[in-house]
Amino acid sequence: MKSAGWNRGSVRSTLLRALKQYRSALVLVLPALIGLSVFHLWPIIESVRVSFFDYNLISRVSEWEGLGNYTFAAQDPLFWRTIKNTALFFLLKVPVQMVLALLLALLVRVPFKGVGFIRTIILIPTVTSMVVVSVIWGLMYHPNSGLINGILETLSLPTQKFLIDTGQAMPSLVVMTIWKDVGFNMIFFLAGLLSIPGSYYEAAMLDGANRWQLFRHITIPLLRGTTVFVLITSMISAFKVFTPVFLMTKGGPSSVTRVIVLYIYENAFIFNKMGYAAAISVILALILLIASVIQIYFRSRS
Amino acid sequence: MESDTHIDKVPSKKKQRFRPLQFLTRGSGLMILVIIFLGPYIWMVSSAFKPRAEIFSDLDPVSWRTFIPVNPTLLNIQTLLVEFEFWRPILNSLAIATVTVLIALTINSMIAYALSRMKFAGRDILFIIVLSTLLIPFEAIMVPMFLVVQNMGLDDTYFGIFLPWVADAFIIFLLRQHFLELPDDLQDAAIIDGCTPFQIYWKIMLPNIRPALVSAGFIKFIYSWDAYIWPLIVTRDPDKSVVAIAIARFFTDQDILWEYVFAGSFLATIPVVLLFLFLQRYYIEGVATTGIRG
Repeated sequence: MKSAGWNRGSVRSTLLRALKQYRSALVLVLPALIGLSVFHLWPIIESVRVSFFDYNLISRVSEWEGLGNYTFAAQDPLFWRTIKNTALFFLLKVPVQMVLALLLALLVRVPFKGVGFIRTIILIPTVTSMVVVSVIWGLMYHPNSGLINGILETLSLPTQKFLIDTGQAMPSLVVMTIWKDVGFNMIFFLAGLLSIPGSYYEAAMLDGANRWQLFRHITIPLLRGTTVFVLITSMISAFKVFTPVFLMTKGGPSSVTRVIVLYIYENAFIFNKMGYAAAISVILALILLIASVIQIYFRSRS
Repeated sequence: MESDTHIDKVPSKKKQRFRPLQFLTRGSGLMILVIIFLGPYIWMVSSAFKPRAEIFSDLDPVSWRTFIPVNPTLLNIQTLLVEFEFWRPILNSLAIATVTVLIALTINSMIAYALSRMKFAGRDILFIIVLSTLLIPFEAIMVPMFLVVQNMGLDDTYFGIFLPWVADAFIIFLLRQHFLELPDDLQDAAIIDGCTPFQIYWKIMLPNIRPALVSAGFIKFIYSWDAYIWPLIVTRDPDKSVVAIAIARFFTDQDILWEYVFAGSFLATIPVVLLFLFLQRYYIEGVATTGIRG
């Protein structure tokens, strides 16, 4: 046991003080540490363990499967479909969301009359519960009596099927989740913009740079760290999508919106294939882990 | 619409002349933003106060009537609260969120204090272990988490709903950052006065990071209020339903009870939006520091 900073007194008293320090630290550390261990760390280990078994939740019987669940995943077309759908959701959503978030951040950074109000209304969807957003947008997208088709009809435009159309279901989910999440990304871009010293712009202005050049050669490069951070956190968040899909499409029509977490949920709690659900969870965890490691790498470099 | 706004403005002495065209484009651009972000809420609130038939008839065609109830009625909300007993999930969610926030702030600030202000062997390793729980999100461990909670006999209990969420590495990270920023003198003076580590934490350090506690508490409240998958997995008893579950029940493939979806969503949105209007500054600060998101 080593303790730093106690050079007075005998070895005995040093040890005693170290013990005392440990005791008070332990009391402060323990409650949260137990919580994290039991409900976060243990499930991670448990997830790997269960993925090697065929576990029946109802009969509570488990049989050793080895890598069976993983080889099954490799050959399961529906699993690959969910990976593809999730990646598509990410690709359709995140780039558009980031561009919009940057534009909104640039908008609300400049003071003007009502800027606080605009910022507030962009952020309100981020604090609104996902279930509320899903059901309200579900009604907006409703093919017969939804708000959006009502507007289209009033304008004499053709009505759309939205969530029940194989081609439109995924884009509809994407639009809704961008509406909800764009404010999150805006916060980071706003913080990034505010950290750029104004003197950079002034110097460039003196050199005769125009507004586009300022944006292109000062703002964009200096926002690189922020952009990587927003990209990775948005990717992780896109790979975790569940609630809107579960409530609005149940993965349909014909599986075009069946995403990974929905497939985990279905396998675990509907098909009663806990082991397989755990194996897919481990695969998802690995994907997200790689994303996080990339982000930490970029962060430590800058 | 952002044509003149996405350019970096530099403080300039030039006097801005009034340009009507710019004023108009900018004004209509902002108007579109307001409609996009507030439209769904206005439709939700107004429909919550309309009889079912009017919700549909006001969509054909869409007009100002769609967004303003001409004959507002409290019947939807009344039926929802009394006959569907929606007060129960509201109370459940409020109680769960309050307890979660209080316990979370207590235990996470304790460990955050130890990790930032106390010296003991293994401290840095402990912090890395804490942070490592952030790498694997809930969605990737919800299945084993359910098995763990079930093995503890906590499934279908209130404890099962909130206990897994009280220890939170995001909050630990946020509060640790703020503890680190406090001046050393504060602690040194307390040590000289003979305070124990716990007294220093409770009486001196904690009051000094109050803004961070508000940020963390508010974000935790939102997350608890928002929770859907976990309560869905862990509870069966309808009496223990949280708000999110109760609303989803009115919105199924077979049947959509439009008026109650609107009324329930309206009631469920009031607390978070009200809190947000007061605590917006703390929310932005907390989100920007931790990168925490939904």
